[in-house]
Amino acid sequence: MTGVAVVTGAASGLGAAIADELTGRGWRVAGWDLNPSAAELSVQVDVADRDAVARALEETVGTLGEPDTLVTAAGIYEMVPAGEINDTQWDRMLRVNLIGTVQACAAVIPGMVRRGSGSVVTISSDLGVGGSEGDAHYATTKGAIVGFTRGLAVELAGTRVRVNSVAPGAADTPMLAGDSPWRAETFLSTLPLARLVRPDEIAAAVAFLIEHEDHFVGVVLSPNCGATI
Amino acid sequence: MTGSERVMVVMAGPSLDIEQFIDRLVAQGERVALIGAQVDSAALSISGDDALEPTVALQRVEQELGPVASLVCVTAVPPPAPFVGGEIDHWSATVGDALTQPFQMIRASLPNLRRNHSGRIVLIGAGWLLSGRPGRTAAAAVHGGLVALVKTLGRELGRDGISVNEVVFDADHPPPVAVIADTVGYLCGPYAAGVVGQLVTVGSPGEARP
Repeated sequence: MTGVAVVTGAASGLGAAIADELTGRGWRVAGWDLNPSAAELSVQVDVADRDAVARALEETVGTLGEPDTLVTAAGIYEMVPAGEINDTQWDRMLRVNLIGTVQACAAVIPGMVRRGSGSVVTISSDLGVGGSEGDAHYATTKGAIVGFTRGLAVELAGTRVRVNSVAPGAADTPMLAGDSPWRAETFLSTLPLARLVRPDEIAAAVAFLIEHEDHFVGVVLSPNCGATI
Repeated sequence: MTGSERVMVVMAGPSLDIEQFIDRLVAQGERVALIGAQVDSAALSISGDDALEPTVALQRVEQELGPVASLVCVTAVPPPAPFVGGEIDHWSATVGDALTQPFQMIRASLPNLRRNHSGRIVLIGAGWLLSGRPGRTAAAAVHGGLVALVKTLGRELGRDGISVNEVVFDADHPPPVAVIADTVGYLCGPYAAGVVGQLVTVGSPGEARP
């Protein structure tokens, strides 16, 4: 199974790894990101901006064709104690992580429904399932994506558009600063596999859900090295 | 400290009959300050402009009733609406408000709760229960976010002596308000300090993580 895939956040980190993985499997990938990506079609767009997303879709359809797959990997992360998260930080996290996911889905899914085929994989987080410490705003947005994914999966199940989520554990990407506590031995030693998840493992999980048509709906798959069991 | 000495702050929300809820808590001996609605049995009701600013509202509670022992937030449950073809801007605003309002109230309460090195925070919501039903993407997103918030704050605030939990019920088939109030009373009471980051489901089978 191949076709046209839109990957948001494709310029770096997980999004870039997913775009690479899908390209390697024969997909024609449009990378939607604020920054240029290495995808076949690089579209610079703020995914939380509805009008900009509509223009990105138009460019994608005009260049590569209608998307068969959407992967929403655009996101940001920061650690701030709950009592110190200010309104700007809270709003920005909601806007990029949650509203960005929702706007991309709202733009791309109607075409999939019309054609009676499509696959959407949202990128949530293990922290959105089990919680964390020091990133309440991030975990809240990722938990919201999990809930949204489950609701959308049920809503679209009769249309043959499948919606699933990959909820990675702490991953070895530029999103984690070099001095992040997630990289510290004191954290890693608490994990059954005692290591960070590799981006290629997460990309493989996304590809697995996309390419196994009809077998997975509303699944939240967590490559997390055992962080949340 | 007895129930009648503890001050419980309740942030009103649309998913409960707030008068019945407050009446039951008061009957249990709680001293309730209600923010966002007026109920006669509450020791203090704050509505209007003061209710819109959590820091101001909580200062009034402290000045008039004393230190806050627990905060209870009744969260919103957005109504059913299809996602595809729906009003996405409205969806985004509704979900954003439903996540932001309890967070702002919690954030404002932390200095007070930390000062006492003891406290309870209880959210009341739908948990994951609505996430498997069509037309409920907004409610599912709100409560997915709140579940993660509860678990995160449960981990983060425990060392400050603050326990954070959520009382969960099926908003489409709600249990009696009295049972929800009794569950809140238990979680805010002296024997539940060790209950942390839990989703306590009322009136439906419990739910596992997704």
